[in-house]
Amino acid sequence: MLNLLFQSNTITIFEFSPVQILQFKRNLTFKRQNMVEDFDISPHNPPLKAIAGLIHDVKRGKLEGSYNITVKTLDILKKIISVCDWKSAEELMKLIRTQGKILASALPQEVVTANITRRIIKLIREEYDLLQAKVHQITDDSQASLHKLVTQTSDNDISRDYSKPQEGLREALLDHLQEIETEMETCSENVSAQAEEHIHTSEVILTLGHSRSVENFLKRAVKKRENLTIIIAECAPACRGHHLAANLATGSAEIVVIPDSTIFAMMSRVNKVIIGTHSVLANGGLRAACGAYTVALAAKHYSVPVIVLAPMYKLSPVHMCNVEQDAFNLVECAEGVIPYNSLAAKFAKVYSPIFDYVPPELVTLFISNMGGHAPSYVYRLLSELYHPEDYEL
Amino acid sequence: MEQFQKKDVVQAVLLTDLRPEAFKPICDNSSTALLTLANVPLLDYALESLNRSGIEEVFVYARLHMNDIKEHISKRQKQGCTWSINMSVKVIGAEGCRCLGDALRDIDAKSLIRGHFVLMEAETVTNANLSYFLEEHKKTAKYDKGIAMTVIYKEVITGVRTGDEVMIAMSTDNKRLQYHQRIKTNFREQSFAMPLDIFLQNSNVALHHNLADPQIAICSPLLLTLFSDNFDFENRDDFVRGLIINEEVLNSRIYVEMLPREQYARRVSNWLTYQIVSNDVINRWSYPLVPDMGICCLRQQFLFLRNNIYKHESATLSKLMSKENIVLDSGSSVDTGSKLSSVVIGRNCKIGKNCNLDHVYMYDDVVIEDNCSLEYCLIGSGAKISSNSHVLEGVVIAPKTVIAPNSNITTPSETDPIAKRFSISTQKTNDTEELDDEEDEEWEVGGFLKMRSVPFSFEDSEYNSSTEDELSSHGSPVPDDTNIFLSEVIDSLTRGYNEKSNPDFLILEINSSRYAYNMSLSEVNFYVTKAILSLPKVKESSANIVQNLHHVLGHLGPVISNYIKYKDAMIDCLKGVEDCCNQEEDFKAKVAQIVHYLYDKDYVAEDAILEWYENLSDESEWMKTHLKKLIDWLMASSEEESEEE
Repeated sequence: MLNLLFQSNTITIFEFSPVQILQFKRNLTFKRQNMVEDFDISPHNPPLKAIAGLIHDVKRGKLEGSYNITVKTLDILKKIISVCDWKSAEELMKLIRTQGKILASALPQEVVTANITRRIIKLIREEYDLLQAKVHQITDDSQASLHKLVTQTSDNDISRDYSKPQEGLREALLDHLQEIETEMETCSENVSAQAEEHIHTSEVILTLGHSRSVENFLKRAVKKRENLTIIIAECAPACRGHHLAANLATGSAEIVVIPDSTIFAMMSRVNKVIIGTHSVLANGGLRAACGAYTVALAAKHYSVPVIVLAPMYKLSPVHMCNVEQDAFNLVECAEGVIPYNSLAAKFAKVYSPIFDYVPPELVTLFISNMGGHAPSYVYRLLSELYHPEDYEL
Repeated sequence: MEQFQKKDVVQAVLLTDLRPEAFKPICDNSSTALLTLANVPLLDYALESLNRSGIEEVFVYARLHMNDIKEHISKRQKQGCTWSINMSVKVIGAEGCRCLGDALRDIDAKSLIRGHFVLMEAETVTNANLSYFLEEHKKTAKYDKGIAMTVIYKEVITGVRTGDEVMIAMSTDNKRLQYHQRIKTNFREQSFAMPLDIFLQNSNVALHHNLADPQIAICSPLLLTLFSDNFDFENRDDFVRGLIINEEVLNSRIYVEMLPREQYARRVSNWLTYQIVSNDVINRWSYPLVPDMGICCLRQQFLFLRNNIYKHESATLSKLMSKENIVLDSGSSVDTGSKLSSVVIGRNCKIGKNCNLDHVYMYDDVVIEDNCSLEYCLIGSGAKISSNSHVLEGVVIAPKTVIAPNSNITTPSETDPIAKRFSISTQKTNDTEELDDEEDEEWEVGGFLKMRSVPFSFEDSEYNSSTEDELSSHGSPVPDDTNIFLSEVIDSLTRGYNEKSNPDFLILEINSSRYAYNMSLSEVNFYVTKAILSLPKVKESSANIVQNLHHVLGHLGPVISNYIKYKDAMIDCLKGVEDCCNQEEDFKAKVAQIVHYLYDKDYVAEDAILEWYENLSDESEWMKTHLKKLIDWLMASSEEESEEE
């Protein structure tokens, strides 16, 4: 038993070799000089400059797409961990939580920012527990046992005390953040790698609007399979479907762009519906581009399977009770629907929502970077991804 | 290195307080830029839109209330609002500045501007992507060094007049502005007089009459020197007019851009436009500058509910009879049974039971008690409307006013076609009705549009007005330019006659006036005749009018014969006589004598007289009896002539 413990210790020590620590420290001093202003925590000005800059970029439309926003948020949170002055895990968690809250209140529609914040907080908890466990084993080796080590880390009932300073936490966290970053980089590839499993030769695929994951997925399918027909609903008023059609047109597949009104008419000849989503809710429902509900209902009517591409960072532990609640939807410029100089514009109330809620029973399968999951399995994935205490930021 | 970087900074100039008198009494002690629209100061809308367009440096030119604006900006910067990110804002200003021209001359003197810049008014609400227009402007500037300005317009619905609408002519090939006229608010223009050159010189000309001018322009540095060189340019309209007329001399041009779909821009220039822009913001035409998106703050604190209701997290909205288009800010509450439609409610307001509010705009801390009915009005901060009161169209209630129970407040001139506005301003009195009468006179400001229901039914009038136009082209009020032209011609002729100067010089003078005011030849004929008949010497005594005319024409004869050469010109000349006789009672009896004299002296030929006589308008029907004898005689003589032949 002792031998085994010793081994595990050596392994962990190996993980933080002196060279690595030196590198970290060098990086840290370099970064500190550069970004001391951007990450200056002052009590009167809660949003860090970097966070405010991120919000500003998203609001101005400079930063688009949930992938890019997630990567950028992760980058900023990583810098907070490495550059900011914090002493204990509790302090760090509080810091990240406040910044995450600011992001969530400024960009309530971009739930991916909150998701990545939750993930990092969970990571802090885990790393702290792990290091604590290790420290206790070393100081108190007579009572330590593998059994205890296992039970300690998986025990969620006792609310832990995170206020103790913990050496090596910063380095451990940065190391694990690297893993998340790699996961982000490869997730689109991992999703599209599953294309062959779902799309076969001479199939008719219907999609809606323009999603980055769907584009990669279909591109892969077009390469691997022959005689595909891809029907793209244009998704008015932004008509982002046109972009997708233009991007796919280089392949050998037949591309058909249809207006949203003909979705139902086309559905009878479709083999599979493949759509992207803005985020996945806790019950397995979707917050997807406007028109997705139409597609899902039509698919239900003709019993066409609906496959949703949702990388793990889009899974969010929120439920939807009411369409009006918590800024679930976003209503865009009225002029997308009717021109400003028309007489009707003066009398009509014009809504141009950009999201649809699709209930979980209309979704057949989620494809994430970890594989395919049924909507009913989403709750399980959520509990793996986030700590239950962080569901509410 | 630093200097090099500075060259690339994109700059903008925001002008404030160009029309503070239009917003009495709310803007008596504060800047119009700080007027709140949907509970956000207009200045924030302007700065936010500039920030979104990638502007890096803004100069806010404060004419009045500079300290207020400075305070507001530094407060916002401390709060860390969105426009303070990546954008520096400087407040500059001068006491002596009266108008836009002065401001731009001052900016030029301070040499703050380093390149092409955006010129906008602080009261403009827009979500336009100005960086695109700035790029287009720079592209044009590469091949046209004389580009002074690109003006940006938004197509709006026709038939609503707020004073911001313009009628323009532009050549579609190169987007140059050729003609610009602001459409008047109070009546329909009978006609637009456009120089023929516009159509002769350009192969494609587009006329736009449905444009609103949001006062956004992309300007070249050249603009500042033009303003400095021409001291008479006061506002942008002066500048545009001056530039179009003297295009060749100044060698500079104005270009036009239209805002595409989903890009909104309107200016708040009076209470009516305040109302229209408020509604547009609530109806999300100005997205993303809408309350629930957090117009200048990072956090989104408003919930967007069905029927365009924007409710702050901390506000309470009870079960209402009906509700639509509402902005409800923090700490405010609306009690049961009220009907609200297009209402903006500030912070900590209280609205009682069973109220009926329609197009009401409230500042902070307003209290409205039970059973009130308010329509189309604005209520200053801290005002209190006691129960059972009625406040009707167009009323603006000053801050801290208290309206007694059961009062009935309206604007005084409801029948007046030109909308007048008045407001009551009383400091904490309980009995306002008495005071109303005293203050009416003091506060009445004519000419500024009040809030009212915007009329949209306008199908009927279009054709009527144009037919009327043809029937009584000379009966309508004479447009400004022609009036000035007439008076200038009269001046020249009077001086020429008194000083006995060479008629050739007079012709030259009249010709130069003609080109200055863009008169057509037939108009010149008409007005020269009128001018001669209006000379003091001719008018001296009505009895021997012909004798006086003979005296005058003895000297000025060459002038008139220079213009009146052909039959058409003669008819114009006779029309001039007709118009004079219609206006001057004294001339009426003498019309036959005047015409006969002109015929005698060979100024007009007989067939011209006959044709003119045939086509006399209804108004001049009486003339026929006077002229009967003359015409008969002319007919007879012509018959004789033909017989002789």
